[in-house]
Amino acid sequence: MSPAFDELVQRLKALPGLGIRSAERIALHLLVQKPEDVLPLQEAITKAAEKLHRCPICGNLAEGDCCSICADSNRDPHLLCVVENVPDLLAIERSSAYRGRYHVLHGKLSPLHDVGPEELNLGNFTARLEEEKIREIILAVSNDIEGEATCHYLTENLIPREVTVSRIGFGLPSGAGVVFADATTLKSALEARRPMS
Amino acid sequence: MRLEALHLQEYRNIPLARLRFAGNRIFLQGPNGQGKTNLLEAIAYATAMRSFRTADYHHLMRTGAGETGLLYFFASDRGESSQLEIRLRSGGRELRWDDRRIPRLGEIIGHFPVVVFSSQDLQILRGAPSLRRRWLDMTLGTTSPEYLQILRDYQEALQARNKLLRKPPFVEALFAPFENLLVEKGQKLRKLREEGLARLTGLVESFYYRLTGGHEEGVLRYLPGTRQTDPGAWRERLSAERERDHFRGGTGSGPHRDDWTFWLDENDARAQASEGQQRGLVLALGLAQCRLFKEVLQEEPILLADDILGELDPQRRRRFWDLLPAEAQIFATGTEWPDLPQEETWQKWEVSEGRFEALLGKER
Repeated sequence: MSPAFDELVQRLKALPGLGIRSAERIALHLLVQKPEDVLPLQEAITKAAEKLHRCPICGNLAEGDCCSICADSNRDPHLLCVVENVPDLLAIERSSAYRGRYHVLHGKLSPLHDVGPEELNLGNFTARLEEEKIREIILAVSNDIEGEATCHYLTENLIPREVTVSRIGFGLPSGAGVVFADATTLKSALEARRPMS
Repeated sequence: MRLEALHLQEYRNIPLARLRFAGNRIFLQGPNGQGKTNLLEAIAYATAMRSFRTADYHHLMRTGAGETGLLYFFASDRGESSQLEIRLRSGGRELRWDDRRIPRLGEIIGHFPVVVFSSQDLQILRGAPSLRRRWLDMTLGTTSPEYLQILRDYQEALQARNKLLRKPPFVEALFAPFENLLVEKGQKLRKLREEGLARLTGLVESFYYRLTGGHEEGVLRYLPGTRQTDPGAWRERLSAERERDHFRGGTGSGPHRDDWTFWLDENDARAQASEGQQRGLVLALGLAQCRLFKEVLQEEPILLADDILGELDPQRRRRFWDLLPAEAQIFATGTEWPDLPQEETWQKWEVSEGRFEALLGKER
């Protein structure tokens, strides 16, 4: 259409999850329908980019010296949940079911995508376990081969034997009937069954 | 399972066809290259969105077509009808089942079973091990979602290890997680293949016996791609072979190198059986596959017989018809009208240049 418009669309399209059509829609929305939104959005992005950084302790997004979760003294300091990415952490937070701290790996081991341990956020991991006297670790990484290999790697190489390690269960989504689950999910659910108490 | 109607649009050499099939016996006649096998291929495609002729679905699209559509009207043995719609575009495939979009192919696997008998089947016996593995994976995968999952997991772990092999030096901590998984999934895969082949060989033996009038014993034998059975020893072996596998360009042993062979009276059928005996063995294999699907899925598969009748002597042809399950729907093709058992029960079609015409009883 015009070089400036095309560049904007290209920039938007480069963002994760956006195709050409969505990119065009957003560009047109901002330029034609809501031009008054452009400046506040621009400012919000700049401000966030200036203020936010990776938490040096856990890898979550942080505004100050460390993230709000690491700073929260009401959290169980000896319980750690390992997740792949920040959205996984946010999802667990939304569940309000967990009161410990986190460690965000920013990925999982994947030789196919050239992701080895050096590419993961593991630099301070063992030091952290020792300093914070972590007693229990929950591995909440994805239920696939790369997730499984990542769990193996952490347990075999980085986590001392005396720390209790578990992997989150995989099974039926709540509210869903057995009949709607696919065979693989049902199998995980059966394997992860637990006694009635 | 019965296919009651099939609509094809811009598929192979067929611009548009709306076919309604009457009954359980359908015969398609026409010269070579007119579209008979194309139609059977379309029917078989519903099983797992996989063609028995090509690995690239773009070959199914009519030259120059932007989109190809296949619409199936199935009726299950219990009388439930379902509609399956497949759309092929150069950018991807779309699958809808009763107008609901199916994002994962695994959801339809095992629901629309089809068994193909084709003259190409001899390659299963004669060809490379990869063809036999593919056949076995397809057969066991159709009957067990667990098998498909373990196969996928194994292949992912294998790809990961192969990628690690490319970059020495080999760091133990990096290899161990993937090799552990390779052994864990590999053992399960091996066990499922062993059990599957044991079940199939019993069926093959019985069908071959009846097909040939009972003189020889035809069986299948499993040849595992690794001698290791103990997980610890298997892991050690993998770790000892990293260097060698690096130069070989990939993991040298494991279920991805599995094979299985046909044996006839204690002789390797590939080397020592006659062509007639070999044909008999692959027919028995197809019948065994059909019975396995029926037993596990509780659904009679649709049978496709692509130009195989002419290759059998009259006696075997008769026995072959006798061995086919009476309730199964059968689509057969040939360049000429054959002598069909209970001829009046067959719906006959003439195929010419991608057009299909159903014939009334007398027009033959």
